[in-house]
Amino acid sequence: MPGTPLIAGEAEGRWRRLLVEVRLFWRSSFGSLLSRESLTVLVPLLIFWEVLPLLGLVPASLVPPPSTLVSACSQMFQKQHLLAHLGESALRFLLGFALAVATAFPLGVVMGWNRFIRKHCLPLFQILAPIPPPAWVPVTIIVLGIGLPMQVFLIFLGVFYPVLFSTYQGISETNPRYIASARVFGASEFTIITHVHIWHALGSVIMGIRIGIALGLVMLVVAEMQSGGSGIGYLLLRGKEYFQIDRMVVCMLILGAAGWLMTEIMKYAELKLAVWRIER
Amino acid sequence: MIEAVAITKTFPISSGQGRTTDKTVLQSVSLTIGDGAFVSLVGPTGCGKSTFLEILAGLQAPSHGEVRIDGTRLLEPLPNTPSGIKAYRKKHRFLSPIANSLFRNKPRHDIAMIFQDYAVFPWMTARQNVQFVLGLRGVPRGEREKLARHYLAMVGLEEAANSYPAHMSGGMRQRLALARAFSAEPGIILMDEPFAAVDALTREKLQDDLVRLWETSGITIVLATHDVGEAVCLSDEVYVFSPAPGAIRGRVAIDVPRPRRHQTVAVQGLKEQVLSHFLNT
Repeated sequence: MPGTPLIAGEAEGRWRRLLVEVRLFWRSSFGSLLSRESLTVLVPLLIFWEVLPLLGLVPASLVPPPSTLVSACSQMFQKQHLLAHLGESALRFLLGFALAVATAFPLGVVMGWNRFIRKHCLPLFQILAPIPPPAWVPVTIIVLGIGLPMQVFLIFLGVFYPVLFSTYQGISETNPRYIASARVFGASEFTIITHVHIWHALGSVIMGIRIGIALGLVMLVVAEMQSGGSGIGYLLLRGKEYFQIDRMVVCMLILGAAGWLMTEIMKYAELKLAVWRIER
Repeated sequence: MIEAVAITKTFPISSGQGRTTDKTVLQSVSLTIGDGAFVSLVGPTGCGKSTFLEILAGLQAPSHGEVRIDGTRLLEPLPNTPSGIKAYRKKHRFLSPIANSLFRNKPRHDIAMIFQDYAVFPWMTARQNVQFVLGLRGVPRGEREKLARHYLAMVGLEEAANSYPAHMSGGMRQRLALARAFSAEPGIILMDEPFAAVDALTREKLQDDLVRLWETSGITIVLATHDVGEAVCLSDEVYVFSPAPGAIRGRVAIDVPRPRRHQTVAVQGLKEQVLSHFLNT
């Protein structure tokens, strides 16, 4: 009945809306795995992968078939505490990532907004940014040791520059017409940043974060291979020492899935934040 | 009241080989516009009308001359000595000359401006666009929605209050720009070729609505256009600009009673009179 207040139904409606959102996210990001189009390339390849070692055409020890991977994965959960390692890696990644975004985004905004600040800051970053982040590893180990600070710093390095540069680029390319129209109405510089610049740069910032996620994952693996002890990168390296190719492949697939998931989350965030950009 | 005294604007233009030459866009333009008037500036594309409007709005400083709105000067004139330029740059390191302050919004009640490409924010709905301006004006949060609805209804956009500009037609976007300008409650609205990008039928309707709004509000309107018919049909006074560098060629007063139609003899005669300023030189 229209207009009737439904207090009990409201909470239920909220849950239903959340469910709809989750389902939408799932379908938009991972739906491609279940689509009919995946039958042409992915599924035949998986079948080949399973069948070739069975027929003895390639050695099963070098090419572990998918069925072996599944059992290897469950073994890793039981014997190697895969979940704990995953948690450690996630913590490191999130720390480094959050630190990088929390510093690079405001810095990028300020650099994009003001020419004077940009001119003074840019030379430093132009020298530092092209250094491939893995090249930092030896110095970092000497200075910070091989514990959490070193891992977080290396991930930070991977995420920082892409976010910084794409933010500053997006902000500084804001259509001057929008800025002028806000100025004529008397908006302060802060209002212009929060209501004009940031929205205009949104797409470019999210692009930078996505590149940052990819580079951050690279640095996570590099850091964990160096520090040893725990984490998904460490498991990967230990698999090599014991010649457990199946476990190594499981680690690789987990890393890939993590990257995919985070990228899709960013894409979804962009979709939700930028409804206004969708042309009817 | 707008007083523009001998406004000249030159831009440095690089002519290759690292040299720059000065290009004059406006050549000592002087005019006075009284309160509540509807004035048109007519000139071909590229004659400096837009630059002139931006100077009136205080978005650009003139190279020479000055603008006074109700007796107060908007911008300091640009320096032309090397040391003067250096000091000017240093002064405006963090704040552009136009900007009001870093954190405090300073609503202006003198001038609002409407741009040819609308410049309504695409990331805000129609209502949010108007509410943004109301917020700058310091209208309390609770009253903004009601007021925004009022201004949107004024231009006939109440149906589209929750749509984003991307989902609107060109005419609707221009209406929204109009609503946003009116919501700032300015004394003057500057319009830079506002109807150039909408189709002819929509334009007629928009022009009628604009005249109706102007008659009821008592706001001064300065309209830059390249359409002689539009200028004659809408305004009290038409200033004719010459091609670049822009200078005032002539002034035509129009005292035909409104509403005016393009086909009437009086309007046709005045159109001829405006055109003659372009052609007989």
